[in-house]
Amino acid sequence: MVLDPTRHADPARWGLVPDVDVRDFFPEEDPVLASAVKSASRGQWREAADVMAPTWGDWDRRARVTESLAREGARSDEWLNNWRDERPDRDLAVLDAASWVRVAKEILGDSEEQDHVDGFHRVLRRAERAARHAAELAPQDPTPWWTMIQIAGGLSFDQSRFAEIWHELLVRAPQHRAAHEDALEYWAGQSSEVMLDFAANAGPALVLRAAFLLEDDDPVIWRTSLVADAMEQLLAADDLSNDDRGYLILALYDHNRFTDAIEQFRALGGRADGAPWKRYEDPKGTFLEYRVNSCRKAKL
Amino acid sequence: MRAVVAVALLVGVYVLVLAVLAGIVLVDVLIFVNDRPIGFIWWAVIGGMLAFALLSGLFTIAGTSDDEVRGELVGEQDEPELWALVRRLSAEVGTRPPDRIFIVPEANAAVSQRTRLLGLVATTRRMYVGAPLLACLTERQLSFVLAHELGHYGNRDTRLMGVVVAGRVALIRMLTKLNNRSWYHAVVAVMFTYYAKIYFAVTASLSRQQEFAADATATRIAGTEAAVSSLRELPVVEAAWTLFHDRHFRPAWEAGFLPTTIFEAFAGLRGSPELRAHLDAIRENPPQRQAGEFDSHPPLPDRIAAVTALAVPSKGADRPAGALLADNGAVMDKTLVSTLVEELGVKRRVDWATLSHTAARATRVDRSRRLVRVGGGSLGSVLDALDEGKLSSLLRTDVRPGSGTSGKRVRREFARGLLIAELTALVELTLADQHQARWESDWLGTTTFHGADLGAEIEQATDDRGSTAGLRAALAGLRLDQAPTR
Repeated sequence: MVLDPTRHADPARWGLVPDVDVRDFFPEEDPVLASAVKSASRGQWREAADVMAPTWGDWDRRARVTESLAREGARSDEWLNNWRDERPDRDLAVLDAASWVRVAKEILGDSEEQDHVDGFHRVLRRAERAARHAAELAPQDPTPWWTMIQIAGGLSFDQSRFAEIWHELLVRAPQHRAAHEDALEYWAGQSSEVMLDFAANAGPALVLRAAFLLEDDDPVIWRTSLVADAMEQLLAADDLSNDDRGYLILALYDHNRFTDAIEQFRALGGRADGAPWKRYEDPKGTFLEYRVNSCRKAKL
Repeated sequence: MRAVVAVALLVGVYVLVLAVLAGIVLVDVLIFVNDRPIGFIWWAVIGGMLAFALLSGLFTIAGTSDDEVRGELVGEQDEPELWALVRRLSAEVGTRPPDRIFIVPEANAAVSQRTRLLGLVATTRRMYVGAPLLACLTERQLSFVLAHELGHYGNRDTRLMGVVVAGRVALIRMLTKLNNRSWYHAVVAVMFTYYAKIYFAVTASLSRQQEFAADATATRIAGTEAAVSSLRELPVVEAAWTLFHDRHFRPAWEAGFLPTTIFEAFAGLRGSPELRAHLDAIRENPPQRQAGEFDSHPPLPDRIAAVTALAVPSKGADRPAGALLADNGAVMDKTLVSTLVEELGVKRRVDWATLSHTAARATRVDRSRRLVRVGGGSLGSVLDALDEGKLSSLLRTDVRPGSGTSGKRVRREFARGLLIAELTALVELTLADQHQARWESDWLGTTTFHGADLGAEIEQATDDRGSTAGLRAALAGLRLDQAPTR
């Protein structure tokens, strides 16, 4: 019994939630937002409008609410059409553009088939028109420009065109986190060197994301001093997002810092619903695999 | 010494086969003598099959190589200049000239010898000259290529070398023949494969040496400059020819058309601006020919380095190799089109511009066929259906978006994109068939539609809250009630 290797890997021994409590889907935690999404799914738009309106000025929150509602917008557009018929305003325009992007992404999925790629591009061009319209209605709002950055990545805009969009975003919200993450995706499709430079300027959390995007081409990327420094900075920071913790775990794991990785898993609890897990085919399975291997390899 | 071993190995094939046959018979006799009638019958059947496979393999190599020849046999009176060149090259190499010359529609050249008894006895010698080489190379470059091929049979090498090469060819032919057939062929093939591997191992360095020797012989005749440039140019010619043949000539032929010009069009392809970058890239960076298991050619850079080191100056003026041919090279087109096909008028003769238009039209007909069927038979009825709010009935329901989601909006939007492509094809057909537009393709295969761009109108017509008014206005005066057919 003493020699049973699975004993060492038992999550309870490390103060981790049991495997069965790990899930890759969690309902929206914000009750107001959750209720707005629900009523939108029934074709009603007013609650969504009431959640969107007060986000004006808090651009990171606006991005989060937009993301959540746009997911519903990709599922059905009845509520968006009703909204448009009754009171077309700047919040609707922002959500409309974000929903088109979401539709485009789901048409593509992970497919490389020509029909899917063509559909992806067509809907992104539609989304671009919607985003331009939103930017006209709300000139101070960075949110449509964030949407444009996603579109630029999908349509592989040339770098001068991207630079214009990026400039429009920066003058409105220089710290916009979601836009930085999507800009990283744009650069990933252009040049890995520029992407790394961009990440190095944008902060440690972005550096780890860049490392993740580059690891297939450059397996030793996690061991570079840039990434190692970013890892230390994040470890020292308090108040990390779940996504940041996810990427941090990958970095710690690559550096054989299993005890530190377990600590991050403890903070994540059962939430395998964020990045980078959701980028794998089996998010929960990947999460659990990293977790059990960290436990097995960690020293007591 | 190695050559002697190789020849001994070739003779050994016969010894091996006879020994195995004797073994099969012996086992059967032993079974019979031991009074096991069932075993005897079983072994007679199995042994008989193996013996059949063995013998058929043996006859493949012993027999003459009856490779199917696609191409034109040209006599001395047909192409006197080409024959004169070949005779001169043969004399300079020091071997006898071929008995027959074929112009073939492939981007290479070869000399083959009909052989008997595993290549131990040589009979008719044939030379194959690729028409694409005649079209692309200069006379001196072609001389290098042909002299190289003749060089394999030159007297400068040991006499046995010719046998070694022929044996190699014969063994490869045998293995290909035994491949992919019944199980008893497979059993025999395994045995021969091991034998052949030994043979190839023994002869590999000999073959490489021989390639270098043939290069050297040919360089002394054609000069270093022609040698280097033709070694560089051959992959380019091959790439251009494959593109021309597979993407342009064959599809047209299979669709029932015969282009009015073939090699003239091929010249157009080689010189076309859209292909220049592609062909330049191959010239700079020749593709590493996947060195097949049996390929005896040394790597191209090594060959180029070797011929460069020889530094043989070239003499006299050069000219396009095509100038060697009589009648402006009419024979080249004939390699692809037998006179019979032409006389019988089996294929419709069209020029390339018509051809690319016709091909583009055919793909549009295919692309719009489903929409025409579900939409009532014509563009007019499709537009009527859209006006009646029946967009949903026109959308495909059998397709899934890449994410596999069951979300209604995503599925609908994906299907709408496919509908737009179909409707675009139908609108283009309507315009083109009533002489308002046409298609044009370049040699890369990119098709451009020369006509009104109705993308916005089509999108408007297929929108949930759209209207066909814009599209109808753009098509005013045209008949919309026709169902396009190929």
